[in-house]
Parts: sequence; structure tokens; C-alpha cells
Amino acid sequence: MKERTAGPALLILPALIALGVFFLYPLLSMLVSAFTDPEPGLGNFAWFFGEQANMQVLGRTFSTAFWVTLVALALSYPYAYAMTIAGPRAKAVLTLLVLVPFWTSLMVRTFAWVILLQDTGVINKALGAIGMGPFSLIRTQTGVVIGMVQLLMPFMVLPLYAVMSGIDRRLLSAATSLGAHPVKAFLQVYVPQSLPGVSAGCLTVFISALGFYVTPALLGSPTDALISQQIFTQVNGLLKWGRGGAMGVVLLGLTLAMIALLAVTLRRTGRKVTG
Amino acid sequence: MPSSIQLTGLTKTYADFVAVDDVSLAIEPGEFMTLLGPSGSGKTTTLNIIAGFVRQTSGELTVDGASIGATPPHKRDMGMVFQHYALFPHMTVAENIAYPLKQRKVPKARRAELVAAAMETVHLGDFGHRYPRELSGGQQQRVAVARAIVYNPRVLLMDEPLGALDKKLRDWLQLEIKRIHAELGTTFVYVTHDQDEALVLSDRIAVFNKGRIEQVGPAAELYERPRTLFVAKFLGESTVLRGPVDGQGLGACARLLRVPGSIEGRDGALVVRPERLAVRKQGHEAESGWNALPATVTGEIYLGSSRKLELKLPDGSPALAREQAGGLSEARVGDEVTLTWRVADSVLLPDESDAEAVLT
Repeated sequence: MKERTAGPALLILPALIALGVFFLYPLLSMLVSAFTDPEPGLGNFAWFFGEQANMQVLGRTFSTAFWVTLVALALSYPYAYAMTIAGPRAKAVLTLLVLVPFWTSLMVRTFAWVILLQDTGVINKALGAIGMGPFSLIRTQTGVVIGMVQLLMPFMVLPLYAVMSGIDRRLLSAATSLGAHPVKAFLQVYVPQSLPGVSAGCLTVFISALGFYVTPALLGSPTDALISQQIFTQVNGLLKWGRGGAMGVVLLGLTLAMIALLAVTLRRTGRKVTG
Repeated sequence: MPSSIQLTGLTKTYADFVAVDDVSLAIEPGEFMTLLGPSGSGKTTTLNIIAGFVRQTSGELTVDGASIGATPPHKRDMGMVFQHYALFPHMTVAENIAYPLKQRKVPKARRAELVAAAMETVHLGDFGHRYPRELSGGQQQRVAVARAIVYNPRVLLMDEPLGALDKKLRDWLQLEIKRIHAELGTTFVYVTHDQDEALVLSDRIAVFNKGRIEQVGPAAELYERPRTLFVAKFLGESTVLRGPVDGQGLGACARLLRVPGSIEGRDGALVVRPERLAVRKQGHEAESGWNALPATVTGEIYLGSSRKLELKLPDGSPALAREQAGGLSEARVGDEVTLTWRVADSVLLPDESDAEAVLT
């Protein structure tokens, strides 16, 4: 009995080793440096929470992630719904449209947005042609949000679709036969059942957005930097490993708190819907 | 006050397919009307037109004399029970049953009373706080019925509500549905493909075939006096003798069989129900008013209270006789016998070769 369980357990050893070397070790060294570099103590955290600018960066990071999540949800919900009601061919096209960008390099897509969003870029030229603009899109928070939404949308669409495709839409007919207006039926019967997909998608997008580096660096302005850019500046530009580490620890702590919060609500709604 | 429903020339066509073809039907207040037919016969589409889920291509639909053909489903004030239960999985049983009351803005205290009363009616015990997935199929369907009757709709529509349940439960719930109908007095429109279910439940049955109604009437009338071969074959079992008909009778198995009534210049089908066929000793002479045919017993099915004999007629076609226990003949498999029946107990119908195709 003992030998039989030991065999399969060994199979996860390579993954554990890889995780230990490439993830846990750097994470621990970050933690250690946050508390020890340049001298042991909480100095790095005192610096982080003491500087007004750092609080602004943290606030901006969260507000950007919030807007990215909100816009991605607003675009993905109807999109995923359309995927569930589309015929097989239309569904294949819609799925491909989500996945193709997913398979394209993040760098390539970000540069594509640089071209599109420029003051003399395609979007502003098109708007100019109908007598609007030009708007400053690049080097603004709006530009960053636009780029990040497009990059992160697959992470919203796919969990939404997974949950929605399991919802019985005949329940909507049942609700209208019982006297519910079709809009009410959708809000009272369909939406509650789709909530596990909403929270899974929002969690993934929000957390990914918190740590985004390349897109805000290329599409945003240096004065509107997000926390990942500040970490890069501290570590790479100023060689303040301890401060970078402290910022990383704060970001990690806040992210874990978010996951814990959502896991609790997820379990509560999940119990209702699927048990 | 139960409602009457009137369908007049109802037609629904899809691109190249006529799902419902000129259906007219008057359903009386408080009546239990069953739409019976094989799958694809248009019965469910007709029900969905009444419910408002499907919009008719042409024709008129009225309830209590008022046209509702263009009314959206949520304003029709009808209750519907689906084959797949259609309970809301994220609501408890009590919340499910209260849902239509909430839509009608019934005050909360009154809602609780009505929910309790509806659960009482369908004999659902103390299940209010449970979720649908925690209940068995039969219990879920009871919840669905309670939800559909709690707001006292003017009509209750049921789309094969017992189709997903096993035989034993189905038999029992049939009686429950009959009891609920008697208790409420509401007009019921019930769709099924199960002839036994239709016979047990209905005041009247409308038999559907290829989008049309073949015949409407009480079960006994459909069984004893079918007007088409399709109805005869769909409802109950029968022996069918086909042949040309003239003033003298119907020619089949190299004999001239006497027939009730006549149909001129066409091929006819003489239908005899199994309990009307008597199995006699070989060579038995037909009395006046009776027909007789030689046959061979090919099979025997013992059913306890009765037995069925499968027979082969001289032209090779099958026949079926049913004998009540206590009145069993001595015929055994392989015996040559004579089948007799009273002419008045048979039905002469025009032969439709396509009645066969639908049933197989």
C-alpha cells in the first residue's frame, strides 16, 4: 500500500523542484531583502508607507486594475453570452477571435496598441475624419486601460463562457411563463447563475492587472507609473533592492487578501448554485 | 373561474416545414385536454403557441373570447410545467414557488401563505428550505407543479411533465395530476406521446399527426370509434384487415368480410380491437352478424389478469387477441384456430398507407 502511493507522489517532484528554484527561492530572497537590505528592520516599509508618492502609485495601480476589470467584464459578458447562443460556426469564429490574440506575444500586441493609440495613429485619424479629436490616448491612463483590457479579455471571456455554457437557458422561458418580464427573467434567473464565472474572471483579470509591467510602461506616461514600474525603477535604476522587495511584499500581501476575500464570496455563491 | 381556450386555423411554418397545419380546437372551461401524438406531430409546438413561446404564422388564439395571439408570454397568466422541471437552481424550493408571486407583487406575508397552500396541494412535505438538486425527480416535478399553480393561473399547460420519470413513479404521479385537476378545477392542456397516460388523465384527447389534428374526443370514443387508421393504430392495439371495399363487404384473405357501414370505391381497413376477437376451434362457423377467419397461433403472452395471443392470418398479416383470465380458450402456440368477431364491434376506415410510416 505504501509503495503504491509513493510512486505517483514522486511524479510531482520535478515540478516542486522547479517551483522551489525558480519561484520560492526568489520570493524568499525578496522577502529577506525587504527586511534586511540595507539594514535589518522595517525601514523599507516605513519608507514605502511614509512617501506620499508611493501611496499615489499604489492607488493608481488599484484604480487602473479596477477599471480594466470593469471594462473587460462589460465587454466580455455579452461576448461570452453570444458564444453560448451562437451556432457552431459562429461559435468557432468567436472562440478564435478570443484565442488568436491570446497566442500572440504580449509585446507585439502592446506595440500594436502604441501604433493605434498615437496622436497621429489610426484611431485619432479615423476620429478626425468624422470631425472629432484628436484625443491624447497614448501616455494616459485611458490608453493603459484600453491596452490592458484587450490583453486580459481572454481571461475574462473564457471563465464566463465556461460557466454560462452550463446554464439552462430554457429557465428563462420558465421565468417568463411565470410572469417575469424577459429583462427581469434574465437578471433574476440567468445573471445569478453566471456569478461564479464573473468572480473567477474578475479575480484573474484584476490580479494580473495589478502586476502588469510591459503595457503600462509602453502605453502609459512615466509620471503615471504603476507599482511594477516603480519596483523596476527602485531595483534596476537605483539599486534599492530592499525598497523594491518591500513594494513587492506589499503588492503580494494585497493580492493574497483579494484572493481570500473573493474565495469566501465565491464559496458562498458557489454553494448556492452548484453545491 | 376556469377559462376556455379557442384555437382557430392555427398554423406555424418554419422555412420549409409546416409544424402546425391549420389546427382548430375548442377547449372548455375546466377541461383536461390532452394533445397526443408521436414526436414531430406538432403537439408541443401547439402548446408553445398557447404559452406564447412560439408565435403562430397565422390563425387565431383566444382565451375566454379575447384574442391573445400577440400577447407576450409573461402577460398571458398561464402556468406551465416542463418535462425538464425548469426549477431555478439558485433558489430554494420555497423561493421557486414564490417566484411568480414576487413577479405579481404579492405582499410577503400573503406569499408565504400561498406557497404553503400550493405545497400542501402537491403533497410536498417540509422541503421549502431545500435546493432543487437535493430532491428526487418526482419531488422536483411536484415543486414545478406547485410553482405553476400557486398564482392560480387561468390555464395550466403541461409539456410531457412525466416524461423524464420512471414507470412506477409516472403511474403514481398521473393519479396525482388527476387529483390536482379535480381539486383546482383549472383548465389543463397536457402534451404527451404516451397513449396510456392520455387515457388515464384526459376528459378529451386531441390526436396529432403531421401537424394536424386527426380526431378530438373522449378516450372511449377515440378507442371505440376511431375516425382514421392513424388514430386506431396510435391509441391501443388492433388487428387491421386491408382490402378493396364494395357494397358486399371487404375482400381480405381470399374472403369477403362483412363490414359496418361502407366506403365507396376505395381500399378499406377493417379494425378490430384485441378484446373483441374471439379465438374458437378450427372450423367454427360464423353466426349471423359475425365474421370468421382461420388463423395460426404464433405467440402467447401471459399477463396475469389476461393473456395476449399473437396470430397469423392466411395472407400472412398479424392479428392480436386478448382473453380475460377466467375466459381463456384452449389455444396454444402452433394451433390452427378460427378467429371470430361481431361485425358491429369492428370499425371500417379508409386505408391510409402513410399511417404506417409515422408509427414505425
